[in-house]
Amino acid sequence: MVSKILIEKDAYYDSVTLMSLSGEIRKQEGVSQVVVSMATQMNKDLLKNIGLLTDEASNASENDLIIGIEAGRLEASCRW
Amino acid sequence: MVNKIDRRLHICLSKQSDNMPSGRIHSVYDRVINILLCDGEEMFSIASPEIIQSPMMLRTNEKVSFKELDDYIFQGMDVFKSGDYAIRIKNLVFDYKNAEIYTGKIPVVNFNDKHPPKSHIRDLTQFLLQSGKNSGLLDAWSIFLNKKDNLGKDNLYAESFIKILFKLNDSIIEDNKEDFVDCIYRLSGFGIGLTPSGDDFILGFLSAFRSWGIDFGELLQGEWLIKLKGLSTTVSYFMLKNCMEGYVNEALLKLLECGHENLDAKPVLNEVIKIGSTSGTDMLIGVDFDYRHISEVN
Repeated sequence: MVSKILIEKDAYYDSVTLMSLSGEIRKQEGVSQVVVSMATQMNKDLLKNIGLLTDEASNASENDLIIGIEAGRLEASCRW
Repeated sequence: MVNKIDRRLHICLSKQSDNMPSGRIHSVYDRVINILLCDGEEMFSIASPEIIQSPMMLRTNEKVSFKELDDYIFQGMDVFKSGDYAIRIKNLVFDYKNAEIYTGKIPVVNFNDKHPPKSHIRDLTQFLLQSGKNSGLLDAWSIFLNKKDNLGKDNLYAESFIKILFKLNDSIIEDNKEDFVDCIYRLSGFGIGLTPSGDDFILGFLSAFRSWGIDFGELLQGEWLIKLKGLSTTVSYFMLKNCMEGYVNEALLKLLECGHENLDAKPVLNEVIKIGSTSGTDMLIGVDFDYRHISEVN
């Protein structure tokens, strides 16, 4: 399994966009876990629990967007 | 032109000086822009008419796509007061002189005198289970109500939400203030969305209890709201700050009034559920959770 975390600073996307992005990523072959959420403390705790928290994600602020992907193959997580 | 403006925002803007910056654009969405006042203590929004009227919001009378004005309106721009009853962003003027005033104050009745009708609770639960949007709290709520046996595999948050819901439930029944406060902290900023699901639940939960005369403000001692600034998104913080001050969006307000007056809530439920992606659903779960408790007490 490989994982990838993307952080977008001060990302103000509406919820519908975030949900749709999450759904699109989840549909990709080989993707096993997806977290698309704002980098609040509780959401970072969740990332930690599923083993997706990185130093960069730890330092993200509550107004930053985190996209965490766990995939079976490197290519699947790198498409994003 | 502005069709409707929140009363407190009207008062707030009346104190601003002509042609001086009132605030700065914080975020731009297709149908809403959020503006932080210069002192950072309040946030207000300008919204297209199809958006549900909310506290500290002014709504235009014609549909607007702020994203289409992307080159014109962007994050960090100054917003000016213009004359007595208008605000200006560059040359774009929002005149609210003849706008209807929205008060948005949560109506309060004492639950010893009245209580939520059973039919209202039944309709609310049924509506949520049939029409609620997934990915927020709905899976957890269905399990809490014994309407579902296991979790959907795509909802990473649900397991934590279930634990919190049961603990919150027990804390109210057992009058365990420490556990209650802990649950509110654990819900704060938790879940998907720009206003995370946990915050939307808290909004429904606190406003519904308040509408039946039970105010948790004292229990949370204001400390929670101060900490919330670092626990959730800025937009969510201001949403809950308004709620703690007794103000919520128009759809939720109508729903609370339906509960008081024993009116058919179905048309209003459809309005609430349209808020955000899962926000409306999560707010309704907060209300449903309360009504069950208040009904039990009675």
